[in-house]
Amino acid sequence: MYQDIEEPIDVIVVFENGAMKPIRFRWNGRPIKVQRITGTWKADVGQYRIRYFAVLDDCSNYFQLAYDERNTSWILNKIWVE
Amino acid sequence: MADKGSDKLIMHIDMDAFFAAVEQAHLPALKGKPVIVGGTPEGRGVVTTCSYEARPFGIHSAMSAAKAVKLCPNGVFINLSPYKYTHLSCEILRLLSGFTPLVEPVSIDEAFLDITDVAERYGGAKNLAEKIKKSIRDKFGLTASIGVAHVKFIAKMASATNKPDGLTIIEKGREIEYLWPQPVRNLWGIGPKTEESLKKLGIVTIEDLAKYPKPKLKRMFGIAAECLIDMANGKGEANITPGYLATTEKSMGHEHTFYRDESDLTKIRGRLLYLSDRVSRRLRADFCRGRTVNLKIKLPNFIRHTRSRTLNISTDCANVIYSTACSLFEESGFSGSPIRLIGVSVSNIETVRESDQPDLWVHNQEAFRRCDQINRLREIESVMDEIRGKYGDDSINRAGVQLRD
Repeated sequence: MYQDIEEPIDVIVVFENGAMKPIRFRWNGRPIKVQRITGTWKADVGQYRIRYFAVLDDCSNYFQLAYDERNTSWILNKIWVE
Repeated sequence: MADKGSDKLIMHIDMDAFFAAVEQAHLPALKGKPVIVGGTPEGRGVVTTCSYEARPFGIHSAMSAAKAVKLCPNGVFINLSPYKYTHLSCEILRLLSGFTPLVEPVSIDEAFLDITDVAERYGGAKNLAEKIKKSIRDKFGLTASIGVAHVKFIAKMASATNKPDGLTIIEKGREIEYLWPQPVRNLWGIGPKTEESLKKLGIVTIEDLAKYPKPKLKRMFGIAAECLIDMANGKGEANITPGYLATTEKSMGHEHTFYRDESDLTKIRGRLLYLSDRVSRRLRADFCRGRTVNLKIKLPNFIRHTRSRTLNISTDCANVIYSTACSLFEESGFSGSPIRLIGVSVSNIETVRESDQPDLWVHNQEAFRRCDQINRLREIESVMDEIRGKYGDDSINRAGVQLRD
């Protein structure tokens, strides 16, 4: 099941073909390498946009990251726990 | 109904178990598992859709989550993510528009394409369909089922023939051969109630329907009988209204399909208010006003009815659109009947610069009072627009708005 986390995180991104891609982030002091982005979507909230990224690490653990354009910050929304 | 004997080539694309498939594509650990979208493992809410792995357990959309849990205790329940599905739906439509500009979205996971002029460029309808399926799979990790025919309803039936990941092409001249052996229930728009009514007349297959005396059927189904017989004989609409045309300023509208057929007037009015509010916001956002208010009603048998009224002056005011839509609804004769879908649109649109001239003919006191009232409402709406623009669409709503079915 998905578990809500909603914690601010630091993320390293690259811009590739005009798209922003998270490549690494740090959560609970642990660096996590993004192995694969499995999905992206966005939500417009008022005048701001939140960009969502469904990502897997190298152990296929799932993380849902969100980039909030309003305050240029990253949040770890959710993880998947068996 | 237009283009009954169509020379067009229509493709219907239906994403397979869309919401569940999106969840499985984003989280590969869910692949091969019975995924149930909507509802909770505690048995609250209803199932919106489920993956193909969940279907052998008897799970289907609109089933209560409580029942789904009993049928499939190991089912993986996922909350709906509307933003996720809407975004992907738009991306898929964008991809389809790369093949032909004539793309008509039907719902979040379905679209019709008019491929008459482009099929040959891709080596025929089959090659084009396969290319589209591959593009969707490569880009989104999702599968789609495709039907191709010369009219829309047969293309839609064909897309459901070999799900998931199916491709069914009904060539011109073979429509009857395809349709007639099938149960009438498979015809687009025939639900369990109509099926039951037809069964009472001894009509079980589409062939039975095609051969049934038209006058007798008319007595039972009224004008819908004509449409049923046309469909049974493979005749139907083939005109595509591209999405980009639907959003031009010829008209602006929103519609809502009720989760269950709805006859509660409070709920219907509440939904009309919400739809009128959305239309008025779009009008104001585009600096437009419209003079004609249109109401669309779809009944449980999928028969569509429309009513329109042209106002004396153009408007972008939600209250004016709402009161006109309510009055059209009351006059429609469907008040109290179950409604499947309701829609409000405004046409006869002009830009504010054209329509903002003071109406020199509004010279009596009552008309002035009314204009003043509308201007005050407009001021309230512009403040609501500002709040929504800053904090999001649902940050403020009218008290009478009905958001839940």
